[in-house]
Amino acid sequence: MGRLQRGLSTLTLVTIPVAIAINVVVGQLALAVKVPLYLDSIGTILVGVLAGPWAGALTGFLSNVIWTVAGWYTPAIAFAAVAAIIGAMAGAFARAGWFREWWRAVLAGLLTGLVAAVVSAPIATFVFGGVMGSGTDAIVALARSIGLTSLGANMAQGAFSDPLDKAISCLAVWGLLRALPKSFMARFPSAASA
Amino acid sequence: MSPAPSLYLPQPTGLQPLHPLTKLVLTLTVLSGAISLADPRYVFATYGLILVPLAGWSRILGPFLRYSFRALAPFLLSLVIIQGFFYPGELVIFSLGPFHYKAEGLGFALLFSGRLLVGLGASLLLLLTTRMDHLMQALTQRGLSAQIAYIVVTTLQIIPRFQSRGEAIFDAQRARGLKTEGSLLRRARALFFLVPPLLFSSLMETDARAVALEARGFGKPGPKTSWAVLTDSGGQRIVRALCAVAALAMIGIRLAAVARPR
Amino acid sequence: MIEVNDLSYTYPGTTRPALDKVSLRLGEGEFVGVVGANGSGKSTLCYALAGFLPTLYQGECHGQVQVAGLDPIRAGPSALAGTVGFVFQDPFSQISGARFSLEEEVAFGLENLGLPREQMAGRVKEALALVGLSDLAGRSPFELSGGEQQRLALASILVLQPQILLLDEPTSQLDPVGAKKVIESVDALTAERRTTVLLIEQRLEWMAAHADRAIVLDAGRVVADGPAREILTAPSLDALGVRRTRYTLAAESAVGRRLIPSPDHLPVTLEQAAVLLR
Repeated sequence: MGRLQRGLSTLTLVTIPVAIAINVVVGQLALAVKVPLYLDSIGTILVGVLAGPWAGALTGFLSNVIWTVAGWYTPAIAFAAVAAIIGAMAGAFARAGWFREWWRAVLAGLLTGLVAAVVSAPIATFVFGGVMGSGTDAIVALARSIGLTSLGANMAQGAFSDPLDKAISCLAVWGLLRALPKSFMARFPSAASA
Repeated sequence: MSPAPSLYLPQPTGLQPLHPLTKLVLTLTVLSGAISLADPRYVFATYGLILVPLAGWSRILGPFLRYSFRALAPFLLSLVIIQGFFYPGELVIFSLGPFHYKAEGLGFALLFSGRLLVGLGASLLLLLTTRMDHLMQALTQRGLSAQIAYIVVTTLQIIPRFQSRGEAIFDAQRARGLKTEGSLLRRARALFFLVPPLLFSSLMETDARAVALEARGFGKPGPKTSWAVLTDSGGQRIVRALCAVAALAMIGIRLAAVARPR
Repeated sequence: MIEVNDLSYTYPGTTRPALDKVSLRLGEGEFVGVVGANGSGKSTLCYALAGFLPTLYQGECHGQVQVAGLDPIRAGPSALAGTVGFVFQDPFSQISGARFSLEEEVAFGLENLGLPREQMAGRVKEALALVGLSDLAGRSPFELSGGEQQRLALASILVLQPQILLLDEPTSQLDPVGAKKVIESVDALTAERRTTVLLIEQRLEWMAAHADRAIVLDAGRVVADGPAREILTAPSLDALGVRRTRYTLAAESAVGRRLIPSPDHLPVTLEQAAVLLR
């Protein structure tokens, strides 16, 4: 909290709402063209990379708060911590230089996705009784029919869907970083290592 | 331009005129009740005897019920099917090939559906009766960072603008012959032409937003004042205190029950 | 009110300075127009005076600046907010987004400056009236047209009653009649309050109608500075990518063909041209 009290730079502050809007709108575009990906964390990853793990975590957290508050998907807030972890991990990977080469960005995405799956499974299990209320529940049913426990089935579902989604999102952010003007990037605190 | 996405329905009576914190505390109390109660009957009673009358009092009963069930329905369906078949139990109700539908699973599905109904309902009640900017203002007065309040309210307002920008890009690229249907590869390729223009246009304007915000003193240290007045009352303060005590008591009892060796 | 000495500034990632040894002095109540081609440093000068350089943009900054007794380079934008008002072109980015109605949006700056609530209502009402938005006070800022949003941006700054007003093409999206009205009321208000105004504007005709003095920037340098009418009619503007008004050009060609006697100053506005042609 001390970090937050000191505050974000104004540029980071105004970028976060834009990043959340990107999450929402790109997520909706992905739905509109019916690709089997969520693509709803590109903005979160971008802020993590540009402005550091803290700002990334905040962007992810508030993204899910917004999904709830706007009335699009009320349960989203329960997964806010997962979204925060995604943003924080993207920021940490960027600091370690993993967003310099495309294949390392993909790797960062795969790892982030795995962690996201592991963390969201208990939430799905203990808060929502083991279902997500979406098409991915078919995977959960399949996993349980072959004998997995509720928690295990939710992990299997996440491990199936999340790493691919996050890897593609990280790759998209990697491409975006190459395309954005240097003068724009230079204004962000963490951009140097990306 | 559509207004900010919000569930808020203004009414002169009921919960709407209450201080945002009162409603927030009420919601959190009901949520802790949903987690703590282990008997489905009590859980459903919480919804029927607390949330529904409050919604009626606030004259939003119709939308409240509609939103509650719309939010619950997908979970209910998955829970009843998946837990019924796969929850460990003995009391088989019917069988489908190698799979047995069990009463324990149905019970578990009902308890969780009830909890979700109460949790979703309590959240919806807050959102339907509270202006988000007022809630944020109230929280800022209690120590929430003004930056976080800014992010939440601003995001809600710029999303419709971005959605129409996204639609405009979608339509423009389609008019230029971009195929957004067909094979998976083709649809993925379409995204490649849709997403970058949206990201660029929106990121490049952040500079100007930062300048404008600073020019109006947002980064200025020192106390801020506010235009909107949030009315509070002694009665509401007492209600909030009672709710907090009730919430803590329910969680405490639940924890004690869980911790007790069986 | 404003004193700039040898100010040079280079944006990060670029080599050519955006401002190159700029020196400038503006007195209280002065209304000064700034012209120059795109990229000549007009907006960058405003950023410097409002404290955005180098706080917000980093980059190389040399020289001294004093604005209303403050040092924008060291103090940064938040120290100058309220003293220096800055309105720019893009209306959408100037809406804070943090408030749901026009009057709340205008009050947002006052909230940040910590003005007691009792003093807000009057000032908000006055600012909205000045830009002609009183009727829409309860509307959402996002339901406005581009032109109305520009008026709102202006009101949101005027309400702070700044001692110095930096206007960077603040009426580009307004229709000509609306823009003229807004500029006129801003001129009247700032004259009454003895506000120092720096106006960047493509339409020299309007600038000449209000500015006493004009400055020409080229590649980050001040290349001309003097009485508005003299500066805005100078033939040298053509080579600097600044379009002189049709009245100036018509009068110049009339003089060249000896249709009218050579005047002391060429006209910039229609009124000035009318006087010349009697």
